[in-house]
Amino acid sequence: MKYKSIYAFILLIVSAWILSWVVPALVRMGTTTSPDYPFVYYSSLLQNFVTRQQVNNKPVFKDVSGNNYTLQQYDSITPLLNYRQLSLSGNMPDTILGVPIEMKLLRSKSWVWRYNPRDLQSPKLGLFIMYESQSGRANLESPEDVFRMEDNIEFIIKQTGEVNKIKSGLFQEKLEKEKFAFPTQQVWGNLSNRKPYDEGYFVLDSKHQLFHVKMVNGRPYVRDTKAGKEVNIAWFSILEVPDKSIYGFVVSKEGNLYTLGGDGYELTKFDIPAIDIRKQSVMVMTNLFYSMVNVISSDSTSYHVLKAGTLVKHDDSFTIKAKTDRWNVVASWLFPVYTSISDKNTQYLSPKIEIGGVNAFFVSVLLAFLFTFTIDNKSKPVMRIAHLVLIGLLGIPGLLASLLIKK
Amino acid sequence: MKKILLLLAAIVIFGASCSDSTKQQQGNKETLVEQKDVNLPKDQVYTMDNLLANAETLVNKQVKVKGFVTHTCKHSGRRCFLANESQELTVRVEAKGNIGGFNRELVGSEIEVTGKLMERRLTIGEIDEMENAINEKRVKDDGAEESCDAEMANVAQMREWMKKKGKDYYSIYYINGEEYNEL
Repeated sequence: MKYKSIYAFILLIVSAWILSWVVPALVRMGTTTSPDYPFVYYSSLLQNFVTRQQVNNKPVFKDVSGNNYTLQQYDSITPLLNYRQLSLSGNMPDTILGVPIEMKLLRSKSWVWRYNPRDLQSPKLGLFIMYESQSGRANLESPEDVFRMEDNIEFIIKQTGEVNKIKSGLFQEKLEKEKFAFPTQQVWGNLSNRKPYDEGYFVLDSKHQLFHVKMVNGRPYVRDTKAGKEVNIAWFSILEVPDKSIYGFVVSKEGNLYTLGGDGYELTKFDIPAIDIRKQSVMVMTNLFYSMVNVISSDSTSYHVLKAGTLVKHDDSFTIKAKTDRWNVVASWLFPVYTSISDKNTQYLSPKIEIGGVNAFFVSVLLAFLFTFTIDNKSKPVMRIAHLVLIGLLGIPGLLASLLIKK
Repeated sequence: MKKILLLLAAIVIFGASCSDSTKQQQGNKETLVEQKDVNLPKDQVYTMDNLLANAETLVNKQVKVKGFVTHTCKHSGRRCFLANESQELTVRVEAKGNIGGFNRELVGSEIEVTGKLMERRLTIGEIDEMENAINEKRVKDDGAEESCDAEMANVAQMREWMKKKGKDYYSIYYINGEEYNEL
């Protein structure tokens, strides 16, 4: 065959590239370990952080000063977290920080919110459900239509696929009256009907202004929240908190976090350093007095405590480093250079070349020479050089490809 | 024939001359209620001031009223409060008919509500009970003087109104809303 060498060379390169993705991915699945952060909560009684962690399959409770606690003590020093347990055991205090405590009050002020960079970097369906937000019914009923909002707003009847022109016209007119500028950039809302109430959608127009859009008593409600005038909005997350004190959270392109207030859409900034919105995730746990903010990176988590409502810093923050991921150790010895196509921070495919570690280069070069001067000593010089480079660069995937193509 | 016609005419004249004011019966008492502004058009949109001035004649009737929303029930949205511009007069509006609920964003907006004007009458007995409850509260909650005084002032105001109007009840008007438009 005339071009046999060329075909073999191409096959070698392609195989090496594919194996440089497959082999590390399989090894990663078997070796990766979780960072194993403790659960951290701010104790209103101690006025300090306390942690809960599994050690040898047993829970260990400590404060940041290193003092140990039993389970019962831990329940007592975190009444805003464990109020159900304390109430059951009859140990719930009547007041906390001078405030008389009722179960209903505690429940109404407790909520959790999470932000993940994957939320920002994920494909959008483009179709949404407009619930009646003041139906007077306990459960939200699914409407007969869905809507999309790109260059205009259209309600499409699910059964027939036809546009509901009257409803679409009503909403279009209202949006234009409130000076909404099409085309829409983003639509954020909660499509599920499994929520305590409905607040519709928050929509970013082409002028980066954030509008609140919902259906009230069968009619469109549209308001410019004015949040876009103060903040360069990257993301909005709606959250149906029990006391309706906020509509949700704004994440700015600069990495600042805000709540959007339930009375008049006022923005309140979180008193924490700006985050990397494409690489760091956030968890906020709020109770009657505090909002605890965890900012999670690939190698550490920082813990902040702010006053609930005002979101002003209440106490010093602290950081916990992640335990070393076993995969990183393995990769640093086996794979000098490898390919990955997925990233935990995005739902899109993200092909990229990654560097494993310096140690892996030494191992790979040794492997390359061994292969070239023992197993491969009868190949043509061009192929031997190709094998040498591939194995030296890719390590084991390169070796596997060379063995396969050699045959 | 002539006698029958004369008799009929006499009956009509007698019937027309009986009374030119309406009478209401409350239990065994008859109370005269003076009508005001009887010539209001049917589709009139009332302001809060007009509505409350003519409330007695509009009870159980369909009315349209406009006002500023000062408060909505945040969680249920089942009612809102409308006030006049000076916010001295307020009326409660219940969400009925086509109104599923009042959304909280309505606060501060001017709306026009169509619904039935209802009346809740507080009897002297009920007002006496309220006064007793306030006095008991005053004894129990030492330091709640301010709120107790305000509540007693309300009771005193009710009694004064009843005395002025010559009534043995205090009227609280509210609207069972059926439809509304934002203005």
